[in-house]
Amino acid sequence: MATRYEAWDIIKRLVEGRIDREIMDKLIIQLKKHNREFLEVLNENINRLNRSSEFNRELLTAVIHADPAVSVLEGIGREALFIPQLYKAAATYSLLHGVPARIEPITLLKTMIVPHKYTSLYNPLVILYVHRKHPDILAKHLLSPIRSKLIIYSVNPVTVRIIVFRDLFLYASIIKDPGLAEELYRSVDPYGAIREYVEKQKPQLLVEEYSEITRAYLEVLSSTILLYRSALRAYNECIEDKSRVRSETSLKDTISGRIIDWYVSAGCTLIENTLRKTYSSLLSQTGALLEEVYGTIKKGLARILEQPEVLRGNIIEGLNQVLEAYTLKTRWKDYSSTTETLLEEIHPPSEALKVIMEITSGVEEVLEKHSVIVSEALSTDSEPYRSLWERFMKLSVETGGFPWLTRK
Amino acid sequence: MLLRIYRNLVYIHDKYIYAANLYGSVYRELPSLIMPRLKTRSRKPLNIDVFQAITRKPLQLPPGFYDKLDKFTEAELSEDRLTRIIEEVKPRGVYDYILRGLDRELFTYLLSRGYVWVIPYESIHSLDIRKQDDLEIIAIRYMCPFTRTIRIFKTVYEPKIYNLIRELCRRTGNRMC
Repeated sequence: MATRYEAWDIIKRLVEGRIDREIMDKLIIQLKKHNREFLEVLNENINRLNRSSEFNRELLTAVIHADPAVSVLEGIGREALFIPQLYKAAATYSLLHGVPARIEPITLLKTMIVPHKYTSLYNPLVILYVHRKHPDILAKHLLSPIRSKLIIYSVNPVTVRIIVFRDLFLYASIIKDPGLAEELYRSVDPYGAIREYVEKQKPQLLVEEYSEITRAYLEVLSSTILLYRSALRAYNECIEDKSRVRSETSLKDTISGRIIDWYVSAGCTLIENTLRKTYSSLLSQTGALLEEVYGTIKKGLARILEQPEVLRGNIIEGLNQVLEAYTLKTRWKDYSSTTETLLEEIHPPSEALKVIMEITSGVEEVLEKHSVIVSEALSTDSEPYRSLWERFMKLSVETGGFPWLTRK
Repeated sequence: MLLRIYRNLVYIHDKYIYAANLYGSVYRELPSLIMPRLKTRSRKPLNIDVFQAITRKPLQLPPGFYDKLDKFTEAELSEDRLTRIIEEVKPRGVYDYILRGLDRELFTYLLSRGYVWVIPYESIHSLDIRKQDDLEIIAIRYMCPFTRTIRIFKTVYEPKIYNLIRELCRRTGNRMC
């Protein structure tokens, strides 16, 4: 029977990322016993464990390299659900090293939406597991929902679940070009074990599936950028409103003054919250915390859009993505200095913009290379191509860009 | 992709129409809240209560404000002046647009109360022009993707907007319009 002190010791060592045979053995024993004291301590510290970069990175490294320390993960089953990363790690271990494990695919897919710094590295492996072992479940529970629920997520993109779109796209780029697996996992897998695995097993996706995954990712990302841009504009205007109401002397200490002031400041709070949430949603969608993630997304977009069928199906989404990113970049300068100072307190705004432009350059490259197909599509005299063309023309006057964009 | 903004509350995208009117309705309600003489208060719940619920920021008012609303007078402020002040802090359309960034639960609450509409072109059941009180309106019957209920959205008729909606609707392969 473990005491509270022992439980604390195990958790502390896990958080610090010191993973070895002894500690993993102890952990698994406690989990399998459903030891009440241990679970209590775990519950208190679960957030620390989730956010701990050392733990997440060390666990992933140990799993990929078949470290004997984590070999106890085989056959771990439901117990590992107390720590979602362990469940994902067990699935990956059983996949890469051919050891049977008791993993339920649907439960595994549900663990994908626990956010931490390395989620974007775990999740493509989870999808790889489900694709290899249960292809029908992948189609039913991941590929078909992103098609049917795309509008819901693009209207209301501020939710944690949105990271599934990014991870599915990362997975698609890995299997399109296994070379990108080496790029994505370069910090945890320097010997390219995952690349080797993907090259040997050759999981396949249909062209339509590539097209759908790319469309979903681009659509959700560009609608988040649009929302972010309008939140910025609304924030700028609400600060002006606030100062205007406060400077009105006749309103002071009257009931009408209090109501109007409340109305304006409550609106500002709402806008501020939206701004904060949209920003963090943008960061997680672009993988801005890890350089290898957005690098892979950029190269993956270039690789996948390279196929003419995928490009033809995604011209509107691709052009829209370029348009939104550049509009955000140009509108950035319009805000007053007060707004800028206040924005600095909320978040450093340049970070997201840098990553968005990085990703956009991947899309732009492909569109520029295939400008014949793009100009053919833009010459169609119907909506939404007409509006797209008008907005591009307006933007190119302001920025002086897009010389490759023509219309017959 | 955002194609067009109509009457500052209907946002026409390439895959769906988004419309919202929370800020606007709270704004229209303000004069009657402040000066009950301007309008008689109706029995239905106040929009400002909905606004309080979503901002989670309670309005600090004297106790029993809503009950004794009619007895308050604003001696130091004339009606013209008040109207002008409210005119100055008039809500912009963009305020309503960012309601999209609310949590799913609150967003669905607004949808079911009829402050926000999301109309995907593929789930439109019918698109007609109707006459209501000497005014031509566009009526769209559709299924809301969030609440899975069938609803009707109405807005003032304009040939350009009607044709745009029809064109986009046909583009998604929907033969109902």
